[in-house]
Amino acid sequence: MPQLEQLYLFLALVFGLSARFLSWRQWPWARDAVSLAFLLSWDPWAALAGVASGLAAWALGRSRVQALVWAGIAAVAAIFVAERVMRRLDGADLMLAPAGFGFLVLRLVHYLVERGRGALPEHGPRAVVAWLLYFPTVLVGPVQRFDDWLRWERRKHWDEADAARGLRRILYGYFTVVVLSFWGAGTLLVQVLLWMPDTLALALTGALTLYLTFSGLSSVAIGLGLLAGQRIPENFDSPFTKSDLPSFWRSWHRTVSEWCRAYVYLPLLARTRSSRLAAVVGMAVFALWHELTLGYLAWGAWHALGLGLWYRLAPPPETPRFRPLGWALTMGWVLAGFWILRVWPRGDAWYAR
Amino acid sequence: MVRALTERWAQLGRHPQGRILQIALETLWYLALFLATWSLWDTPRTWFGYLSL
Repeated sequence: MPQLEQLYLFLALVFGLSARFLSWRQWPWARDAVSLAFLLSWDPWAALAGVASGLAAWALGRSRVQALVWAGIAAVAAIFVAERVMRRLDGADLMLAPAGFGFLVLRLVHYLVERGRGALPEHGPRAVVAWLLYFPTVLVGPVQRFDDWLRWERRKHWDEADAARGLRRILYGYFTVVVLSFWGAGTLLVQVLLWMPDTLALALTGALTLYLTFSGLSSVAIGLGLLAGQRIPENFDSPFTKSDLPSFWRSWHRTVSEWCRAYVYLPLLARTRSSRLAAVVGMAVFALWHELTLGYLAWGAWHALGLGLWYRLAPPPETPRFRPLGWALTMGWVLAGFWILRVWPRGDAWYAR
Repeated sequence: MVRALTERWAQLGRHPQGRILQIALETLWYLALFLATWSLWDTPRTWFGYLSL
């Protein structure tokens, strides 16, 4: 997708320069114009979906009728599941939804739940749409909470140190995506790990490539935010150095796992008082959000089992002598999870048979 | 060891000539990262492979 890359880089330049040189009155217009220009030229449906769902979510939240807010959440969830099912109905991985759809759904549910709780500061519809379409994060996250985004947006602060850190993050991000993920994980490791069974070596290199590409793109997004003086939450925190599975999950695709914790795990725990059930359902939602397939369900179940075993059997995490063994067990468990995903037959959607 | 190296690096920056050396080394480092990225830019990869999410 070279065209997308070039467009993204060009608009990133416009985004950064307008944050530096425009006044705070003019800057939001430039920011929203960049977001819209990117989506309209890449996938007009994504722009339309963002604007329409943002306005609808704001209007539902403003009505202050709880039933309407819950109907909105149910509608978002139903549309999401329907799209995931239809995408695989004829066996092909059809791209029906607008770009960034999975992330849009997470943001909308978060917004509606928090609005229903009355936990968000006063704001207009434009803020919701601007947040949903926010150029740095619109396609691949991180998923930033609305109140967090609004706080940084209202701070209206630009300084050189932040911008320099932003540029550095963007450079490190692209270096990770282009050089490390291609050369490091893609080729060198395969050669080193030739002794491994093929599927295991592929699972390992696949996991590393996924991590390097995704964390690199997250770095680029965070760096772009810093160019405009805004903080975007971290998505990864060195997950492959963790010596227990719960820590791994707190450092891997953090913004989405925190979403699952806040909107699936904790509400279910509060209602059922069963941490086991809440963990299994939370992990299943996290897994099926990626893809509605048995392979992902098995992957989610594997990690739910791992977390359950960990809380039941593991020594206190501070036990220093346990750290090397804990690291090996954690990495083994994670790698086995990726192996399950890789060996599971593609197109296994049970509803498509 | 990392802490000792970080401390040495900070010490270097406090000296005027050391600061010049530091800036030169940092420039070289960022240039190397940029050139490496630039030279591999066209290699096949799954750019935005997460669009399907």
